[in-house]
Amino acid sequence: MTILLFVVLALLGMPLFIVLGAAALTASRDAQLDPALLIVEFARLAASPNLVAIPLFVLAGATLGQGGAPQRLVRFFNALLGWMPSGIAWVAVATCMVFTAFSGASGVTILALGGLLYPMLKNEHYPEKFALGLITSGGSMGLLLPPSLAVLLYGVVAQVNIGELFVAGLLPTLILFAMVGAYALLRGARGAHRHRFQWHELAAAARAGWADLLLPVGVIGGLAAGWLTVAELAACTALYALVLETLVHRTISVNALVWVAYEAATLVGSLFIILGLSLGLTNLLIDAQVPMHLLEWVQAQVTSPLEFLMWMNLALLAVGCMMDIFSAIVIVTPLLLPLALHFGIHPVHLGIVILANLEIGYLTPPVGINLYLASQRFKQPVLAVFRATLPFLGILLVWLLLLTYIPALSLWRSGGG
Amino acid sequence: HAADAYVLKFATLAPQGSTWMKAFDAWGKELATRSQGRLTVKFYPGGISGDEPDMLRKIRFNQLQGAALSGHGIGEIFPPARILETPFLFRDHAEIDAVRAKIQPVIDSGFRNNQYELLAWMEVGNIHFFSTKPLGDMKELARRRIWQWQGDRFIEAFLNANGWSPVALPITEVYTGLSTGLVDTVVSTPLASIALQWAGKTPYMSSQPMATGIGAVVVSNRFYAGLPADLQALLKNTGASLSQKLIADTRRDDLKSLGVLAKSTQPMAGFHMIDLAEQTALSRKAVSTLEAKGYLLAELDRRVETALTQHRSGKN
Amino acid sequence: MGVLRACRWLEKALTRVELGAALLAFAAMLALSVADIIGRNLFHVTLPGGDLILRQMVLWVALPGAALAVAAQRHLHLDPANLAARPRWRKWTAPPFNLAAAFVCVLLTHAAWAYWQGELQYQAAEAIWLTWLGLILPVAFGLLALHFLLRAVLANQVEAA
Ligand code: NA
Ligand code: NA
Repeated sequence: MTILLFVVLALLGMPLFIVLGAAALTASRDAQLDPALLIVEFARLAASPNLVAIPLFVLAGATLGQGGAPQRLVRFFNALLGWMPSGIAWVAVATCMVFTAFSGASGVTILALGGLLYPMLKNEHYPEKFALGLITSGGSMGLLLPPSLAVLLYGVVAQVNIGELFVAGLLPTLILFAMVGAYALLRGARGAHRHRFQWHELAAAARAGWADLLLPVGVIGGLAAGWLTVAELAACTALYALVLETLVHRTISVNALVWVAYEAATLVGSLFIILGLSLGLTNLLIDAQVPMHLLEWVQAQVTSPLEFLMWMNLALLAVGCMMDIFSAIVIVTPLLLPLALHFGIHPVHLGIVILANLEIGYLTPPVGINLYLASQRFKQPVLAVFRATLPFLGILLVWLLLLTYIPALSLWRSGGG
Repeated sequence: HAADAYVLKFATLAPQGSTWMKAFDAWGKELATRSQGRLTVKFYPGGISGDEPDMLRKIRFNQLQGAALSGHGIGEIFPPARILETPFLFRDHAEIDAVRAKIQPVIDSGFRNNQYELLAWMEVGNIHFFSTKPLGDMKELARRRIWQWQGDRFIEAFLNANGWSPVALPITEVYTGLSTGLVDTVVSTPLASIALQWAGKTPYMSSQPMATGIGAVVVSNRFYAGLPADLQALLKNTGASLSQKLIADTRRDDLKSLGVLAKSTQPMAGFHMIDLAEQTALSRKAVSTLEAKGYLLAELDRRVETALTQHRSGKN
Repeated sequence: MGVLRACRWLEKALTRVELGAALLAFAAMLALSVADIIGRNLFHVTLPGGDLILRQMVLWVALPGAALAVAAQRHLHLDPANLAARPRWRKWTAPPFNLAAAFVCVLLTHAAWAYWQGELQYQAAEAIWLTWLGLILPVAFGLLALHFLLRAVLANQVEAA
């Protein structure tokens, strides 16, 4: 009954952290536990060295966003891929993916790039529905690329090597890119004219944007080589972005830096308060021994790893409908990890499957942040946005099945499983 | 009778299936049987309730009522007991047993005065260095990222005395830290290293033990005081035999683990050149620093010294 | 009218202080990280407690940031029916919703205060500075409550202005 009340409040637009907080307080009372325990858990946000990386990467992302990285990225990918059949669609997907990784997959992509890419697609005579669906779903693709916050968070919670996770996410991201591009080729704009490829434009665009593009490469390189820890790498990234935009590109003045910090702090704040309270809720689940009982129950019901993966996908899709990605990672991972280990599933593979599942959750109502952001950004009813994303949802589901049942796609570097 | 049923929620870092958890499980079953179901234990193993300081916070707010703690946790309750972990103080387990027998009443009342009832003393094994890298000589340790349990002032004093700069982390972050290179060297026991899966990340080990890690099974005073007298007695009685079993099992399995690791790891050569006299002097320095800060009790430390001298001269 | 103006002034002042805290925390994070990378790799020395402060700074960015997000109404929320687009709905729901949110935050402040009191009591004297850094928890939850209260008063006023 109370759960229903909280769901209704969430649907009416109450901030999610308030709903989570109220739920956690109520559950504490029902379990006769001191609500101070929620804060004991919240304070653990300051215990994990990897979590330090998140605010710093967000700062880097905000700096790049303010400093014109979206424009430079669009220009570069346009010069690189614009000549291809349905080139602008490829450009849109590539840009969305890279920017989503920068901006922490919080839906910011739609706000930052929608204004650039949507008109571009429409100018090239792509159907409006196609453009809307592409950008809305593009806002979650790239979730597996470095330095995505979702991957960092999974690594922190599951205690999996973050560098290994990022390497594991490369091939799946590439496959998704190919799948969406292929769909655009078939369904997008057959009539859209193709651009001529121009070396000098590519060179100019690369000159303007190489420093931005170096970032994901540097992050994955640094992590894979193990020179720096994740948090150190995040600090370097933030400094790099600040130097790049204030001294090299000179697109950000000192006053604008305050604005950048404001943007970063509000984003970090709105994510971490949800995270902290999710930790409190998780502690209540542990107190009720839910993970242990779940393990026993699943061990009794499910016999094969394949069967387990199938049920896990279904459960995660349901979770993705109901929860935002950050609380979902915190709450779901500790429940699934022991089960997955029992069935011999590699924690890196598990991470890719969980994240791919939750990536889809961005597009599934009722809790599908990207649907609402796109509806706000493009002034379209949520239902229309949802209908436009349906084909892309289908592609994502096929992709999810591929990732789930072909572990080698994620584990080719980690040595099988 | 619901009113007469007591549930002890009990946390430990020891994972399911480890030497310690097996003993705790048997203990829980014994409590349930002998109390005819009036006292049951719910276990939260494998660090699922967080680091030891987190467990103690949860005991403070009464989410948990008991825990199995290692030296770090004991240091948050009754730090002077950690004199028993002083590096290079004891030569063998017999010395430890003899000395501890002499000071056990002080430890018991130390716990009681700090809101805990000590049910069973235990050990976590012999402490060694484990590293992801080889060690040519001791000086290289200054450049190592040595894990220090966050908030552990005891180990900090010893690392400082040696001039090493540690990386402070909760124990729950060590496994990730070893994978990402945030730490490259840990101080741990063979048994714990295997149980916590650190051993797979650390192909180098110091062959000589430094000390024997202590541990304790505790319940909060509040929980203990709320029990009827017969259940209090039951906890105490089962605790005594649990302690014997835990110490014996740990010593046996730790030795076994050492054998396994000796085969699968390379020795940290630097430790072969260790100067015992110098190390003992450094330990003494760290102990007096800790005494000055009121972490260790000078009076108790003297008693330990006396008891040890007596034991060594065979007059105990 | 005086009350409203005071509320507006207060919201603005709080926002500035919170932004200042977050800015300083970001700067501290960058400085501490760089100092640690250089110190550890080149000179084999570290700032004592530097890594602990660095991790506390996560709270010092996030919690003021969360307060800022209330003032800017940028907390993650759902609204599938796009109710926020209807002025009349907003007019009638803003005060009760913000008051309810403030109430939840008051309860959380209370919990955070109890937590902090425990830390103050049980933290070792040497590390008590860490507890003082942790004061941000009850303070920030209090600020969140205050921001929601101000929103309850100002939501419709700002609309009109
Ligand atoms: Na963790
Ligand atoms: Na969803």
